[in-house]
Amino acid sequence: MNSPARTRISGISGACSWLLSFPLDTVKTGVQGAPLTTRVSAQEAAVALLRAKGLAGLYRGALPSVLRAFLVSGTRFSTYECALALLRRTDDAATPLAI
Amino acid sequence: MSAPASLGAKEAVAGAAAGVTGTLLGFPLDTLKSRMQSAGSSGGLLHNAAAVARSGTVYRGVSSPLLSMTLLNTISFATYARTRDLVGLPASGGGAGDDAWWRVAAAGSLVAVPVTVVSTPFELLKLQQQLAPARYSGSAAAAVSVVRTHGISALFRGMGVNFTREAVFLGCYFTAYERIRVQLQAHGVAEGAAVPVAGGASLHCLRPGVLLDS
Repeated sequence: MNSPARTRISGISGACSWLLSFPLDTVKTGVQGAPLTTRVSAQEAAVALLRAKGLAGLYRGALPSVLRAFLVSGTRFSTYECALALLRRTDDAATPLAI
Repeated sequence: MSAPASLGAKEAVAGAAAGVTGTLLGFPLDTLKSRMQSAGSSGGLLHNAAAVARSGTVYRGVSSPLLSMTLLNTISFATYARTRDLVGLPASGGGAGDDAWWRVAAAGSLVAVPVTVVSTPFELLKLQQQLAPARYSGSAAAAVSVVRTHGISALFRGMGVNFTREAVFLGCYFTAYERIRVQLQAHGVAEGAAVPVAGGASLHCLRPGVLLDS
């Protein structure tokens, strides 16, 4: 598969997956980001968030995460292929018997 | 067969280089996301972006995903090859019939089992540093401080909700990836670079893509 196609596919897949799982990620941030002196359960974090910010609160921060998904997958394949080309070129030069 | 075993050392190094670059590029947006999600935050995207930029703590906690990324990537692929087998999909990748998409989703979601065990402590250390940057001076110091003060179990707080999140994310990711790929191939967009790698080509070309999460 060519690399622009793969970049598109993984960008779209990543962005969709982030959107779908985002409310769970927000609850996770509530649990894992709280000061560790207080133990917060997932249910407590979800209820507190819904009370304070409503349903929209579950999606606060979704835009940067979707942007990040595209940025990361958009650069990943070109970096991967660049690095691989460099590594192979180095190897060819160092191996006189390479076919 | 397992995907990582069929990969050469150069592909692994190139994959790691791509992972490091992606993590470094994406981390400021990750910090922005975490701050906007946290209970005390208010204001819009630009307001928060400016505040994060001014704070000078944009990269706090970045070593946690940098350390866990390669490990998680390897685990994901080794596991995905096995969970595909478990739900009756061909090990060589692709090949889901029209009625078999639930199998891809199941195989993807099952990857969450080993992934969660590793990602939970690394995510906790990252979030603690992103949301309380003044309290820790780096990931190693944060790990020592958390374990000393609250015990090892504190590193695994949020494991239940993290597992659910990973299962939804990975199930969705692998399903979307395989589905879009099949559609593009049907329209003749795709073939090309995958041919020379042959063998476990489908998994091979999937490999760098899964690094998305972290």
